[in-house]
Amino acid sequence: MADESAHSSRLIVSVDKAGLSCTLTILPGREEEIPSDLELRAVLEEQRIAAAAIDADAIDDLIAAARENPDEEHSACVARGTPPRDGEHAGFTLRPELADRFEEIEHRRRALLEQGEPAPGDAEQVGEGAVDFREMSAFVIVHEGEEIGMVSDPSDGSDGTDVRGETIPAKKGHSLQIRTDHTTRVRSGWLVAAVSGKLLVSVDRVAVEPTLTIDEDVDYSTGNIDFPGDVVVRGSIKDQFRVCASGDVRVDSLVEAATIDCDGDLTLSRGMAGRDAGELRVGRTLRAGYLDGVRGLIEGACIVTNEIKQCRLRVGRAVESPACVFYGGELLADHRIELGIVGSEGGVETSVGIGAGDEIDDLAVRIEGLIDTIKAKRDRAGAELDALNKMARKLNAMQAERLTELQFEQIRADELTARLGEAAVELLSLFTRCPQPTLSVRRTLHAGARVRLRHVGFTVRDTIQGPVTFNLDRTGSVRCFFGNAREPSPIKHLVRFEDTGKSDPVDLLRSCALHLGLDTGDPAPMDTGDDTPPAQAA
Amino acid sequence: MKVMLIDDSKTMRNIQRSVLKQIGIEQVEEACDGQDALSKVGAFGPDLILVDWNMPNMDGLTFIKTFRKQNKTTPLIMVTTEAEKSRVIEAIKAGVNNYVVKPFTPDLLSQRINETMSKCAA
Repeated sequence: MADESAHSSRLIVSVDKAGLSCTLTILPGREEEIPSDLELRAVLEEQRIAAAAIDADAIDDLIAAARENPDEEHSACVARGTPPRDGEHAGFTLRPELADRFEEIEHRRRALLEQGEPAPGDAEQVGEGAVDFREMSAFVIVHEGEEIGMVSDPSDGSDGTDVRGETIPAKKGHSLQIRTDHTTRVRSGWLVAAVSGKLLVSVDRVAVEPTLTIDEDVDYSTGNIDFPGDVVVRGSIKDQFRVCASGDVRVDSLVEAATIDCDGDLTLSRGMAGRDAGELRVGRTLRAGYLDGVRGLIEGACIVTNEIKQCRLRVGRAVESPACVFYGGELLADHRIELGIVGSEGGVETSVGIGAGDEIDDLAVRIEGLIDTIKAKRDRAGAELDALNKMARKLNAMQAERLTELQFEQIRADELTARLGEAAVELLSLFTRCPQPTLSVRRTLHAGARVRLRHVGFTVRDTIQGPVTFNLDRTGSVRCFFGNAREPSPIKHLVRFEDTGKSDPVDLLRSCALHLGLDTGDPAPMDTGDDTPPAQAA
Repeated sequence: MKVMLIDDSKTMRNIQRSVLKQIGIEQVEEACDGQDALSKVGAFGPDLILVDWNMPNMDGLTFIKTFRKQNKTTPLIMVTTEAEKSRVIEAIKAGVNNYVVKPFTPDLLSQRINETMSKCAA
């Protein structure tokens, strides 16, 4: 509603509700009664209209129009205020690359609905405009410190002035309206991920989930997973899909012929039916119900409850599966293998190997070989040096240079040999600090099963009923203990020894060190001891 | 410290480089003769130069004379099989600061390097 008042019989002054506009009306009448500019200004002043707000041209035009047609009513806006400029609200703009990723994921979701799941083997045939459902993940992943989007601060705005010169206050902008939590932080105007994980963006919330939880299966709906944290799959992992994680992985249902690569623990609540194409790499401990047709590298321990079948597994520490049946394939561990049953009645090819690993054995052999090569080179240089020294009292230029070279060759050879000797001693110390390789079979070790304890290999002649334990004594010979027996049982009638083509790396390293006159410390192997039953020691 | 090695034998340069490494000098530039050295020395700006005498294209003595004509005061050590007194005097007149006769041992070379650097710093 306007503030309106009559100030003479012919003048009406009105101010709008906001106080931003003042309108002057001249009613019809005689020409000589039309007020002058000064009279109009006096009326406006009486109404407390600020001089700065008055529009002089508008007053002139109004008077002119009234004089021209005094019989008509004339109105004009003769004063204007300045409206306030309200402050801007705080804003959040998603980084364009991430916005594009969300769009791609939406496109992927729609395409999957329209096209349906690709037939097996079709996934790689990605044509123009098509979506590779396997390779394109259904999640937006951000890493710690990555910028998520820009945050603009709220502004105060600027105050306005009404026609009477009074201040009209501006409204301040609101602070950020979206919710954030400890998973994000604001840095130099950017919202930044405080942890690595799955980015969640909704109308009123931005957050990062450090654990990726997939309620269904890992399949075409999710694509392959490559996640910088822990992953929980409540369903299964389908054929040919891949899950990589920098943390732990847990799969509640079946894993098919898929690939799992994780830096932490892997827990397969049911197991993995790899059909000879399943692959695992586990940074720490593997726990599984069963493994079938799987190749893998487990850097920690391997704990399987029921069955390991047709697998080739390399375990960095121990296999601790006292109730597990293992048949078909190869199981290698650095320290110890404990199983329920090894091999099968049908004699399917099954082998277990325990020792510090072929790589370290090979290293010992290489050290020995290198020391021999360097020594031979040094001897040749020495012989040539002697010959040169004897040859002439005064050397020519070439001989003098050659002599310098040979002297350096000898010094270099001595340095290298010393370093290799130190490496041999260090490796020896590593070997002797490891527990002696031990195989424990709780129930049955079937005929035909092949066993390798470090450098000693044998095949089981007739099925052996457990509990039985095999290990190496201080001299590197195999010992066999039944149950909790303190004394080893005769072994020759139980197994057939095989030539593994390997020497005992401990002997090899010790001889290298002794040959170079280095102190091996004569470390005693940390075996289960002659007096301690191995089953108890295990 | 930056050292330039001038010798036509790669083996000899490697030997000298390993001696320098042992005494903690890692910044090394190599040249295969005097001419090659002149083209590199300006940009590299060595603190010490080890130079052989007999090399193709430009021998060590000519390099030293040319280098000294440019008013360069960088210490120079001649590492050579030329052991005769007259040759040593000739090299010293040309401007070398020290002299190592081949064959030499790592200890001798590092001793001469330290000796030269201490004298030049004094």
